[in-house]
This record gives sequence, structure tokens and C-alpha cells, in this order.
Amino acid sequence: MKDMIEHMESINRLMARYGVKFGIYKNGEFHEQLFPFDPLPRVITHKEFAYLEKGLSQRVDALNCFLSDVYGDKKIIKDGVIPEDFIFSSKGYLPQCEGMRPPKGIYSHISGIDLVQAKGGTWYILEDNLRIPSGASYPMIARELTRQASPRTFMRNHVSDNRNYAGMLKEVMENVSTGGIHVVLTPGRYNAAFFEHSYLAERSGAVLAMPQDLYVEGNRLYYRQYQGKQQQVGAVYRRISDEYLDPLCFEPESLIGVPGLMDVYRSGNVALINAPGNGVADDKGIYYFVPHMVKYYLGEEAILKNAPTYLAFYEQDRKYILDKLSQLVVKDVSEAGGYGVVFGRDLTKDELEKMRHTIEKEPRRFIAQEVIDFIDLDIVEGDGGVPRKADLRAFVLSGRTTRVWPSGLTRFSRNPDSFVVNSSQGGGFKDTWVLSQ
Amino acid sequence: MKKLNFRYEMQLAFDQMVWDHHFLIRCRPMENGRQHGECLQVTIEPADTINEVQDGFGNSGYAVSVRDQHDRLYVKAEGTVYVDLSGETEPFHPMYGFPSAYTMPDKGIRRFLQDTMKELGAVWESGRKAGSLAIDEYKELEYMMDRLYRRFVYVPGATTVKTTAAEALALGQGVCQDYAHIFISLCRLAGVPARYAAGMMLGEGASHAWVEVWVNGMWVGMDPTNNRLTDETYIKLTHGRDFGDGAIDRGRFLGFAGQTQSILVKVKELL
Repeated sequence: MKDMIEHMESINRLMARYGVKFGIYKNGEFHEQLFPFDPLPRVITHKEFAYLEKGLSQRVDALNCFLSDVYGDKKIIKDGVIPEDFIFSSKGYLPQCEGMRPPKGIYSHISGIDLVQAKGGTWYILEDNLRIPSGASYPMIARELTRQASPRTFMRNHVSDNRNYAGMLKEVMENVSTGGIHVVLTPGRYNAAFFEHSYLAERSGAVLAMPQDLYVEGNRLYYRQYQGKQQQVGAVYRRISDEYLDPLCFEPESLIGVPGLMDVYRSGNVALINAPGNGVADDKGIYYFVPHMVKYYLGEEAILKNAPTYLAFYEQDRKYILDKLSQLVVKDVSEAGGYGVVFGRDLTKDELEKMRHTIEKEPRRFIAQEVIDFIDLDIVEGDGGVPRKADLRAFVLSGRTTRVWPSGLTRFSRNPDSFVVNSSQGGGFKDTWVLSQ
Repeated sequence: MKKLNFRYEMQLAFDQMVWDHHFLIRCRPMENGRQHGECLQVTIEPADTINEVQDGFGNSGYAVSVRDQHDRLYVKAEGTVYVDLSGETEPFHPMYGFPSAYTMPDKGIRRFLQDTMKELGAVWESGRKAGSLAIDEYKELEYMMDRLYRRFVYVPGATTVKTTAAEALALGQGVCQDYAHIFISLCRLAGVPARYAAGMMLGEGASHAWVEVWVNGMWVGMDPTNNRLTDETYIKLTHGRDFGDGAIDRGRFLGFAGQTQSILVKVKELL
């Protein structure tokens, strides 16, 4: 472990050279910043990982059932398990996707599930990311570099190899491919996760494509090669948001979309990874209902718990929220990436009153959660370690079977007083070691 | 039942050359229990590829692409349509009960609904369960349509295709799209599911937009621009939550051209 700390600087330097960066938009400007790596890994025991894997697979399977139901028969609404308001007034619900059946019925192929471990040891799900969860490339490259810097560490510790992520990704694409090459579709250089797009394309043997490289002809999708040869595309791991995918179907002024793509998809002639419309299932309001989904679709009790959550939509919950506001964390369901998260304890009396007023006026917009006192992990600062709040993004891949990548992205807050660990809020990351025995 | 003959012509003219043009045109009358088309003929030029497509709302159309440079795109559709309002209604979908991008209510819309309610002496709860209206409330919808008609002025050019219901009502003037959006927003706020319909009506002129409300287990067409219910002389081409879903055409091209769209619709009744 000691030599890993010694190599911290050289690893961060190498990562900077490889272009391991994270882009953020601040005041309308694009800034690229390094995503600081801390060499002390989060360690998850073999047994604990087996438990997490079971719980995470169960959760993602239920979420996939839910998506298929929402864009199909809508049984869960008819049976009164989820009020229709939470589905049809969600920004993530896309009626354009009604009646579409993605290849093999899989909607969320790559799910990024954020968890935290409370001080008592219990794991809680914080949120599901079923649209374009990013971040797998960071622990991959960090592992690669630390292996080079300190091979001894990995000889002495039995750490599950995480280099198989690319292979898992490839299997996910092959499973749903309709025949042809695989592409990773990136909006381009100025995307926050461009490094990841190019890295994952290279590692999984897919072609990195810009929107202008793809075109539709005869209800098929093609990749335009520089020699002018056309190649049919069977699976698109797209890193472009739903609303910009196809100007003929969604946002008409999108210049980064591929016109006609959704028609090809509707005809079953290409797989889109992940399916458009998934936002309805990772909405912060729908989160509340995920344990209900597990029971409804799988007939099982949810293995992993949600953080205790209250929906302002329900009168009883709303009363509780308004009453206990100063102890709760309030989340605006329409925001993502750590934005729209407010801790009641940080608010002044006036701000609390204002917040109460907003919640009463727009109850559908807010959920509130008990603040989980989650564990600190040590990070290196100066000559010693300092404790910082950290979460874990686990990557769950749904191919022929549902599997959890034996690693994950551990993000930490660099600010000692902050519980918000999102990289877009300036945090750093750690490798996640899953012990193989 | 009425037998109608229609012709829909649309031309896009560009002041400079454009290329790599992708275009969606939904110029075919919808096929459903109340409408059936025959002898349809469609001309689209220029076009490299034409693909028949469908969307999640039940609309069908043609996805057209033109690779090479052009400064004009012309579409013509003609044929015969049988319209029979006693036919089976299209199925309900709960999404039409909720606000959409163009129909998000604001203070002005809320006030309009409250004032309507006051005048009616009605207790009209907001957010009632969709599809649970009694017959007299349908008369109240007609009253509300009339109220909108008397307060909103038809002025072409006052609004754009991006104007929302709230903006249009504040402005007090607009075109059929705006009448439809405001009325949809009001209906949904009152707990009545409503959707945007676009198509053609009897006579000669531009294409038209109106509203369908879900009352007593069926879709009923209301045309706030003309303050009337729709009848068998209306031909529906598309529907959706609002103009964003129900636009008859949409497209994207490369080039720095300005475009002018002209539409000519002719519908006459065949006796």
C-alpha cells in the first residue's frame, strides 16, 4: 500500500496525460478538469460483494420489468401500485417510445446504481442511473496504472480483476445486436465524458462514431467509413441523451442526432444501448417505488434498501417533510448530477420557510430523505490520511444474464463538510477492490 | 358519414441551396374507426429515399431524405376520405391528462380557468381522475371554449411555432395552434384529458389544428379557433400531446438558408 501512495503523483500525472478528464459546465462555459484519483482503494470483501451482487441484480431486473410494462401494458399503474402522476408527468417518460420493443426486451443494459454504506454497515441505494451512467472507465484506467506502478500490491492482495468490464460490455452489445458492427456514439470532444467514450470504444472493440458518421438508409443504420464503404450497425452504445438522438422524433433542432434512427429502432433493425425512455424509471420520484416493483414483478422482497424516503405528493409524507425539514435532505426530482439537492440543516430560518412554501406549491417535484450518516473513507492529503464521505457507483450489466462488475466507481467529496460526492461537483475518485476470496 | 375529396400541397422554398435534408411529412389521413382513406396518391420531390414510418402516438408518415443540393421541396397528397363520427373512438391514453411542453399552465391560464368556473358557478376541481366527467361538464367545456373565442384574437404572425399556451394567452392573439394549446392547457388543468389534433377542414386554405377532449369514454373534437365542435368535414392527419408531437411536418437540413413554407389545402364534399 505504501508504494501506491508514493506513486499517487505519478499516477495522477499519467492520467492527465492520457486525458482522464471530466468536463463541467459552469456559468455556461465548458471547463475540463482532472478527476483527482486517490490511491487508497475502497475494499469490499468477497462475501459482501456476493450480497451486493444479488441485491443489485434483483433491483435492475425489476427496473427492466418496469420499463417494459410502462411502455407496454401499464399493469403496475392499473393495479394501483404506482400513481399515474409519477409516470406521465415525469420528464423521463417519452411517449414517442410507446409500443416499441427493444431487442430481447432489455431497456437498461448498463445501469449505474449509487449506494452508500451507513456507519452500522448497512448499504442503502441512493439512486439509479439508467440512462447513460458514466464513470466505469475511471477505475479501469486507475487499476491499469496502479498495476504498472505497483505490481507487488496486486500480488499480495487477492483483488478481482476489473479489466473484464470491456468484455462484459462487448457481450451486452453482442446479445442485442441485430447484425453488424458495434459503435459507441459520442456527441464529440466537448462532452463531459469524452475520454470515457473513446476509452470504452477502444477496449470493447467497438467503433467510436460521431453523429455525422452514422446515417439511415432503407430502414437500416450505417456507419460511413472514410473509404466510402458502408457498414451496417447492429448495436449503438450511445452516449447522447434521448432528446437529441433523432431530430425527426425528438428535439427537432438537434444537430447531433441521427435523422431516422428511431424509425430503424422501432422496426427492430438496430439495438440502442440503453433504450430511450429509461428516464421514467430513474426519476427521483419513481425511486420511492422501486422496492414495490421488486415485489410486484419478481414476487420477492427487495434485498437492498432505499434510503428512508418521503414523497411530498402523499399528504402524510408531506406533513412529515414540512415538520422535519431541517433534519432532512430534499431533492428536486427534475435535477441530476448532485444539483437540486438541499440539506435542511444548511438552511436559514427564512430559507426553510421558502422551501416549505415551494414544496407545498409543487409537491410532485420533491422527495425528502433521512440523512444517512454514511461511512468515511480515508483519502491521502499531505503526509497522512483524512476521512471523507464516499459513495459507490456499481455497474450492473444486463446481457444474457444480469451481472455486476466486480469493481465500481468510488467517489468522494474533497470538502470535509460535504455529503455530495458527484464528480460534477468537484469530487475525486478511488478504485474499488472486490476481494476474490 | 361524409365522403370528402382532399388535396394537401406543401412547398418549402430555400433562399440558398441546402443539402443532407431529412424530412418527416404526415400528409396521409389517419386510419381509425372514424376515418378511412381511399385512392391516396402522394408525390414528394426531390427525394432520394422515402420510408413509411410510425410513431408512438399512432401517427404515420413518410421519412424523406435528400442528399444533394436543392432549394425546394414539394409534397402533394390527394385522395378520398370517408369520415363517420359514429365510428369507434380511438383508445384512451393517460398521458393526455398531464401538462406537456407547450401546454404548461401558468398564472394566466389558472386565472382564466378560475374565472370561467366563477362565471359558471361550478366547482371544478383541478387534477380530478382522468375520464370521469359527467355530461353537463361537457357543456361547461363548450362555455369555456366560447369564452376563449371571445377573448382571443386570430392574428397570423403574432406568434411563432415555438409559442406556448401561456405565452399566447398573455399575448391575447395567435393562430389555430395557439387556440388549441390554450384550450388543451385549460382542459387538462380542469381534469379533462385533451390532445392536439392537426389536419384539414372543408374549403380552401391552410392546414388546421384543433383539440380532442376525452369525455364520457370517447374523444370529442372541439375547434376553439372557430368556436365549434368538429364534424365529419374535418380530416385528421396527426395527433399528440401538443404541436411538438402532432406537427404535420418537421425536418433538418445542412446549409445556411432561410426557408419559406407555403401550404395549400383543398377539401370538398362529394355528394
